[in-house]
Amino acid sequence: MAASGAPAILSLQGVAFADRRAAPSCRIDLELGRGDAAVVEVDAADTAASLVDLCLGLVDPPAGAARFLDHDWRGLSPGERFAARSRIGSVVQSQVWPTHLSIAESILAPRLYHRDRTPDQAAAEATALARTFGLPGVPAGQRDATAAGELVRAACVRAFLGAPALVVVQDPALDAMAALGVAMAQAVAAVQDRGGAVLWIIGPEGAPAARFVQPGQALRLGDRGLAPMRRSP
Amino acid sequence: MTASPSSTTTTTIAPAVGAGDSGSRWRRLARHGLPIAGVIVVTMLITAIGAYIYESNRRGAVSLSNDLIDAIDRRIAVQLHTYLSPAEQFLELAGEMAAARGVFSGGTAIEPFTLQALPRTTTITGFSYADPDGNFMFVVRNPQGGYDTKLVDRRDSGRRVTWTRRDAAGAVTGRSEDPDDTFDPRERPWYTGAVAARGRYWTDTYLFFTLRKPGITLATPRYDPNGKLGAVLAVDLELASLCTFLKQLEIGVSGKAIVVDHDGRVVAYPSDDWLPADRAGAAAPRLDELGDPVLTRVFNRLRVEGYGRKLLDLGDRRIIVSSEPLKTLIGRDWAIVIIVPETDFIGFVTASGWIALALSALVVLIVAALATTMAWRGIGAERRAAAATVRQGVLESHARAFAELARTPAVMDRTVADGLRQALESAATTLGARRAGAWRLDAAGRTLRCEDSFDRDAAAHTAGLELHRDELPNLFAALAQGEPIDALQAGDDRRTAELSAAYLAPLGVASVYVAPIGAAGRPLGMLLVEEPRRGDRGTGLAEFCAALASLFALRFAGADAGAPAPAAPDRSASRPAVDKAAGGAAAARATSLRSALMQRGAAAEGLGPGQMDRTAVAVVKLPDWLSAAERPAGSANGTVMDTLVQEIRHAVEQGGIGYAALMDDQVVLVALSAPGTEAEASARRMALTVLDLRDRLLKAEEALAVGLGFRLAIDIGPVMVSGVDGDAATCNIWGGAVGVAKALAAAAGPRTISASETTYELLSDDFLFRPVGRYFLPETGTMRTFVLVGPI
Repeated sequence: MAASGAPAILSLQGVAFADRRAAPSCRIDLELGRGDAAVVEVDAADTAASLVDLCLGLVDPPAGAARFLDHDWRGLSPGERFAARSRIGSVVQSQVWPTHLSIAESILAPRLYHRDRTPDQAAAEATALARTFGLPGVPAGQRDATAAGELVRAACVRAFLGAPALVVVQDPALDAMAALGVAMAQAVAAVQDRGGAVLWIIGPEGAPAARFVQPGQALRLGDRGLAPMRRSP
Repeated sequence: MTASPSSTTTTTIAPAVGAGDSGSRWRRLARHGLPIAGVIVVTMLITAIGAYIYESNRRGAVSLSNDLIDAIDRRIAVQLHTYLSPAEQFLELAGEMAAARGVFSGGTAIEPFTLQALPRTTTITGFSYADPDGNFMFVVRNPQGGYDTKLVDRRDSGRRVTWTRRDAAGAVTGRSEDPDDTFDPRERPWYTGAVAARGRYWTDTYLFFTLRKPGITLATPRYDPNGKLGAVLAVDLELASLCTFLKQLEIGVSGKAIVVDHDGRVVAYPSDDWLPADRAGAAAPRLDELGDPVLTRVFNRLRVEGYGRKLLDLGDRRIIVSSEPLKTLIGRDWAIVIIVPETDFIGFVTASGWIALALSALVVLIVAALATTMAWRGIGAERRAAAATVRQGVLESHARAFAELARTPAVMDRTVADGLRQALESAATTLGARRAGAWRLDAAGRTLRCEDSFDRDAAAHTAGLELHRDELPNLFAALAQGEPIDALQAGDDRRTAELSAAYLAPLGVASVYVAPIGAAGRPLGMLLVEEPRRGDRGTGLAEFCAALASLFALRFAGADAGAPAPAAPDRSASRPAVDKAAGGAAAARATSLRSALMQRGAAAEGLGPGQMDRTAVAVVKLPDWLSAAERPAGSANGTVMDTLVQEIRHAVEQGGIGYAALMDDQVVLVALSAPGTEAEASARRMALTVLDLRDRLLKAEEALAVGLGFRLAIDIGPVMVSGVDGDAATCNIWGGAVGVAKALAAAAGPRTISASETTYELLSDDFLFRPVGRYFLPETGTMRTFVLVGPI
């Protein structure tokens, strides 16, 4: 929960899905404050994707309000939304990468574009993250020449690079990689220590990679919204 | 330099269909396309036939409906004529008898005639006789079936109204006067209309006061020879029976016929109560006043277009409207309007059309199913024939390859290494496999040693890798039973799961075929085929491997009998002399180092005398410290770490590695070059040491029965040496390649040896490497990494 007085990093208040096929009365209330981490179990993949879109301000909710760092996404201009998203890292669709850039360029490009790091700083930070996630360095090949497992690790590097205030994780390929459990736990803990927040959306089959993460909130999205979930040890 | 494969005859499988066989392709296309074309033609024919039949039936039904409407028109006209004629004849006779006389001279004279004639003319309900003086006689049917007479006497400027009542037999039952009756016939429409028309006059339809039923009145004036009006005679006609007649007409299912006058006012309607009973004397409503939208539209069309046959579109309904004038037949400006939905006449055509369409669709489906079955059977037969041709070609290639190998004594001669190499090259090529290897079981049956393995993609041979029984118990058990293993996913097969984890998966191999090599029931080894061709082109895989394994059994059995092992081929003689120092990766690293120094405002020389370039560094990543600190059950040799350190020490001493340092969970090995020696020599020494160390640690895992999960890495690059002037055993080596090797070891797969690009460039002629990927490392720039598999 948010620390008293400090604005929440992510706040969903009575949010409804625009394209949810079942349970139109479902409303989501979720608040992630500084240092919070939450794991949300969602059954349907399209619903999970819709939840990510709401958190990232890619779509506006038909009801309720989605706020990031106390700013309602609905009230931000496209340019302001773009700038706000520079504070958000996401592991979503880890197998999808631009074909005209190498993986390393794709990872570093956002940081260089937003000019919040020098190229050397960004490269050093990316290398450190890559080694955290079990890579010798930042993958420099094209997407087609990079193994699927390395693409997932590279997506993690991309998400945690740049000290994001919020990291949203929704990727079945990552969820299934138990070998990344410790690395993800370290990266998530680093975000929390830095005062950021992490939202990890997992499927009904669970996420071995999230096993080592200790979330403050473990929730399940049902027909009536989010409900507390007991995580298996 | 990569060892070139031995010269061997490779066999290729001829394609099932020749590339230039265009005639056959067209015939095949025609064979497959004809059934489809047939279905299309049948579909088009059935559609055309259905459309023709539907249109023809529709035209016929419309024609029949027109004839029916015409007949109904005529029937109604005749009925009207029959209905009105008696009244006209009656009035004509009465008029002749009255002869333009007043009521009290002519009217009373014809009263007996009237009382006799009216009961025989049922359509007439009343007879009126009036003269210009206002005298009036009215004979009207009463509810008892008799006829009453009302007489209005206005003679002598008076007014006397007398009623004479009669029963059904005509007997007078009473007389009475009605002083309140102020009726004046001269004010009545029939009177004024007849006088104005100076001839026969028909009133509009109205509700008769006494009967409460719709009717009309026919009036005619009588003039004397001088043209002076003498009297006006009129008869009242009740229309109830005419309405009943219209109601009884069957026009389609829901059609109706209506008689209207020239203003569109209804004369007769097929209903008993179409005219409200509380509006006596009021004029009949027009068609558009009946509250029926269809009749409203009909009325509007009649007003605009006049009489005729029309088709109205009302939403999704089509209404046939027929309106025929009756003037020529009955002398009245009336018309018959017939309104009937088109579906009443041609609905059955539409219904039967849908049924015919459904049946046609069923026929089309059946034909399509038959055609699809025929085409599919044809395609299936062709595929089977093509597959049979492919399989035959594959089997022939197997037979040729095996015959050739069987004719080659070197294959079975343990003393000739090229025989095994040739056989494996032939096997890998014939089976389309990524690699084919022959593994020999040691005399104790505990270790499988790779005698030779041919990598078809790299066109290179490797040897020397050992697999241990305790590490792969299920595989060894399967080999002991002489059981071949065909695993599409080696990781999912119990017998090959351990082999996959330890050996295949790090090399990216998923599918394997294992043929046991044995003689006299004793296992001697295995033929391991990695990623062989599957499907039709993989037919005969088991038979070929079994046959080849029998040849290898002869070879291995000979070895066990004491034949000398072949000497390792000296490939150095054929290796071209290249300047390994000019390698691109080494140059790129040097550039990267200079760039990093320049950013710090320093030069390479500024690193001091401790810098050593192109130094071979290896890192052993140990298991986590808790695992390393364990004392294995039943072990008297201390902890796991003690065993590991001991094995590392032996490998370092045997490999001549000058530097080894334990740093937390990693051991750093550095091959220090003697002054004046080539870096390549120390690198080769380091690679052999690391491979030896891998085998030692595998054996240690086997001995300790624990999974160590160790990782190895090797890099060649610059390092820094502290205390270089002192004893080598006490110096510290750090930086550069040490960091790179650490990073590679941390990211390496379990039990594998990760290698940098500089290592690959320097050693790829003598060792087999498998590429992993490209990475950006701040220490080196963008660099390729590899897995060191073994010596070539």
